[in-house]
This record gives sequence, structure tokens and C-alpha cells, in this order.
Amino acid sequence: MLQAMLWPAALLGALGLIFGAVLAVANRFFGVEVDGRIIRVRESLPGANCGGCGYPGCDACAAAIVEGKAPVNVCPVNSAEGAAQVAKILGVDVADVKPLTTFVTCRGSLSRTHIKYAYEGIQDCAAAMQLTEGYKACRYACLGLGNCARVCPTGAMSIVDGLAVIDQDKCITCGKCVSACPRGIITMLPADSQVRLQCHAMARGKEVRDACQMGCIGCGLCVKSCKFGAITLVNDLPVIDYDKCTGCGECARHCPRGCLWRDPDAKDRVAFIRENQCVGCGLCQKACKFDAIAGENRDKRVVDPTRCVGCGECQRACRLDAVAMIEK
Amino acid sequence: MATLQKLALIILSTVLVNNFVMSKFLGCCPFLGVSKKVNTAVGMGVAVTFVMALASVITYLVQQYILYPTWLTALGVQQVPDLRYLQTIAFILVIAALVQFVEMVIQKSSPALYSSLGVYLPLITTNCAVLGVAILNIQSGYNLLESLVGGIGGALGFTLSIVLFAGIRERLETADIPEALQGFPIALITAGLMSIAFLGFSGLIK
Repeated sequence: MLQAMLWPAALLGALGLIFGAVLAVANRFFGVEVDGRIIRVRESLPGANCGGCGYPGCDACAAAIVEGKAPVNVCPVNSAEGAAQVAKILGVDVADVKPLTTFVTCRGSLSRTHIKYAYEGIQDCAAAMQLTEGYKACRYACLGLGNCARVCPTGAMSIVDGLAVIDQDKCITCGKCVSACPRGIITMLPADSQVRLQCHAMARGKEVRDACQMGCIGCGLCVKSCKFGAITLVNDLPVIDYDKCTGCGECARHCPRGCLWRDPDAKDRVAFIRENQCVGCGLCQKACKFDAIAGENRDKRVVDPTRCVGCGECQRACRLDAVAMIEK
Repeated sequence: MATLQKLALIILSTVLVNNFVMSKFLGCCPFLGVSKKVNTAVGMGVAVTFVMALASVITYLVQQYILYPTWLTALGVQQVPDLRYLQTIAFILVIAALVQFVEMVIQKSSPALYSSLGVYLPLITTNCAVLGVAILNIQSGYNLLESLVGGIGGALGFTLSIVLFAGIRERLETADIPEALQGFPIALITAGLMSIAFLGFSGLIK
């Protein structure tokens, strides 16, 4: 009786021990040396294996970061602290890489764009595109059938009046909607970008005007109004170089169609020169591209608030910190 | 010749007639879980084939020489303990250790294969189809070679059904399905219909 109980215990115990020992030995012979940094970077990532970074799982993402193939904040879901931790492990500066945000580059809702026919087919944007390039008159417009909303893991995307809308509070910028949209309407932009184009129509004048009340007609007034050369026209659409953009908003003010989005929270700023600190060197005056600073020789300079657009160039030019940007 | 005939019969039987998923309902978890895309289904199939072939050989040896060690009588042991009732638990142990070991070896020797099998390899550790093939081989009284062929055949059957199923599910993605049946319900109905279709193979071997 006792023997009948002892045998199985002994056998399974022995098997377990043997396998354990074999695996331990095998680990010594076959174990792959993994860069210690990869493991530590891996621990700083969220670990959801969502694939938002474009790599298959967090392990592959960590390996790519350590190898320098991906920036430290490639993980769109990771918090700022997480990215900072990754940067610390690798000894690089996280400030070099800017966080992104998702943005819908279309305003052609059902009420603003012309409808060619009532679409009653499969409720899928890719399927709707098969039929005369969509039911909306603009062949670049958002079809509003929710391919983006279906892939959104946090429920941040919704369709309002036939147009995709992002709830920025819920968005984790995983980028799934960007690849799900067959029109390529959703883009990733720098989170601190002040001006964003809200149209995707690669056509000009009449064609756009006939299709949609809101579309960009490719007139190029934004290009002319930008004093910093940050905007160029590509395929009849303005492309903004965010390295050059100062966020002054002149382009948005000049756009006849109101296609350029400005951060609604951003207050219009204006330069102000502190008299007691100004020595009248005139550097700010030279830097100003809008003729908004007046004064001659060694006079203390004065800002004309009606001309100042708040670009901040004068503040950057002043060596004595005499220029402040204040709210209008 | 008779051996070859028997091996061919085993292959035919495990792939079509006694298909693990379709007629024995083993390995349903990966069958439903990893069958959304044909590519991943193929990856899973390859990994399962690999593990099943190895597992059926190892478990055969464990059964013959460890669980009921009749060879001990030659060494003069009078009462050989018969521990064959421990089959299930011992096999799980063997398979789990085997998968870990194989994973380690592959990672070292062939990183390309390792990254293509990816996450599926550790998933198979607790796949009941792998345990099922080991136990069914013993029950059918196969010898070592037949066990190996039985394992490979079973895995090919698994691969066949999961890839077919994934193909159907890819098409279902764009089909106009009633709202109540979208997602898993329609997948389960499809699996049931496929199972009925495979039932037709039962008349293949007389």
C-alpha cells in the first residue's frame, strides 16, 4: 500500500527534477546572451503587446530601441515617465523626440459636403470606396463608416455627422486608426504643432469648391503669408514644416476657406518690450518680419500690437531678455 | 510493404478521418483563437507539427521505458511497478519541458525560425491536441515509427483544418452577417459545419 503511493510520487518527483536539471544545463549551453538593456527597456514598456509601434510585440520593440532603430518614445502608448525611463537606460535625451497626436484631416461632414447618392451597402469605408470612389462628391473625403472607430482600442474614435472625430482625452496615439483608414485621412502630427491642415483634397479650385464647402482649393495664400518659409504646396495642398513654424497663425488668418486649424486653447500672443531692460540695440526690430517694432538709433523699441502676430522671433533675438510674450 | 501500407493508412486516418479538431474536438482553443488570419494560422500549424512530432516520439519512450519498465526484469527486478495510470500527468510534464527545451535550442541555433514561430511555441505547451496525440498513439498500440507518423499526421490534420477555417473567417470579415451572429457566434457555426463536412470522410477507410 505504502509502496503504491511512494512509486508515483518518486517517479514524478524524479521526472520533474531531471527535466529541471536538463533545462538548467541546456540554458547554460543554449541560452542566448541578451543585452541587459533590452530587458530593462522591456520592463519600462507597457507590455500590452499591442503592436502600435509597428513591431511584433514589446520584446521586439525593446530590441529595436536598444539597437537604435527606433526612438525611445516609439511606443505610442507609453507614458512620458516611461519614455524618460527608457531614455535614461540608454543615456539619451528624451526631449530630442517629440510626442505625437492623431488628427483628422477632413471636415467634409454630411451637411457640408455634397452627397452623390444614398449608400446602403456594407458599412465599411473600404467597401464604400469601391463604388464610384465613395458616396461623397469629394473623392478624398472621410466616408464616415467607422473603420477607424472599429479598430480603436480605447473607444476614442466616433463618427459624428458622417465624419470621424477623435476624443483626445481617450486617445493613446497607438496609430491603429491611421492604418485602418483606407483614405489616409488620419495622420500623426507633433502634439505641440500650432497649425494643422484640415483637408486632404489633392485638387484645386472648382473641383474642390463643387464638392465641399470646407475644402482646400490650393490657392497658396498660406504659402505667401508665411514669413518663415514653413509652408510649401505639394499636390495642391499646403505642407507645413514644423521645424520652421513659429505658430504665429498668419497662414490660418489668411486662408479664405478656413482650412487651417489652430489650437483653440492657444491664446493670441503679442510681444511686449520691458522699457527698463531695453538698451535700444535694435536686434528685435531686425528680427521682426511684420514691421511691428518701431524706434530709431538708441531709442527704446516699442511694439505695435496691431501688427504683431506673436511669432516670438523678437524674443529669440533679444540678448537681454527684454522681450516678453503676453496675452492679447 | 505492409508497414508502408499501414503508415499510409495512419496518415490518411489522422489527417482526414480522425482529424483532431474536426472529429475528436481536441485543440479547439488555438483553432478558434489563432484563426483570424491565414498567415498566423499557418505559423501555428507549423509550430504544432514540430512539437507533435517530437512529443509523440518522446512520450512513446517514456511510456515504454519509464512508466512500465519491463526491461527491469532482465536486470533481475522481480516486481516491476506499473505506473501507466500516471500517463496524463507524466506526459504533460514531458511536453512542457520538451517545448521549453526546443524553444531554447531553436532560439540559439536558428533565430529566423524562432522569430517566425514567435509566440506560438510557448502557447503549444498546454495544447490538448499534443497531449491527445500522445495518449491516442499509446491506445492504438503503435510502435515508435507509427507513433511518429501518427504525430505528424495528426498535426497535418490540425494545420489543414485551422488554415481552411482561417480562410473562411477572412471571407466572413466582409460578409453581411446578422448583427447577433457577428464575431464568435458565426465562427462557431462555421466550425460546426466544417466538422459535419469532415464527417463525410468517415466512409473513406473501410
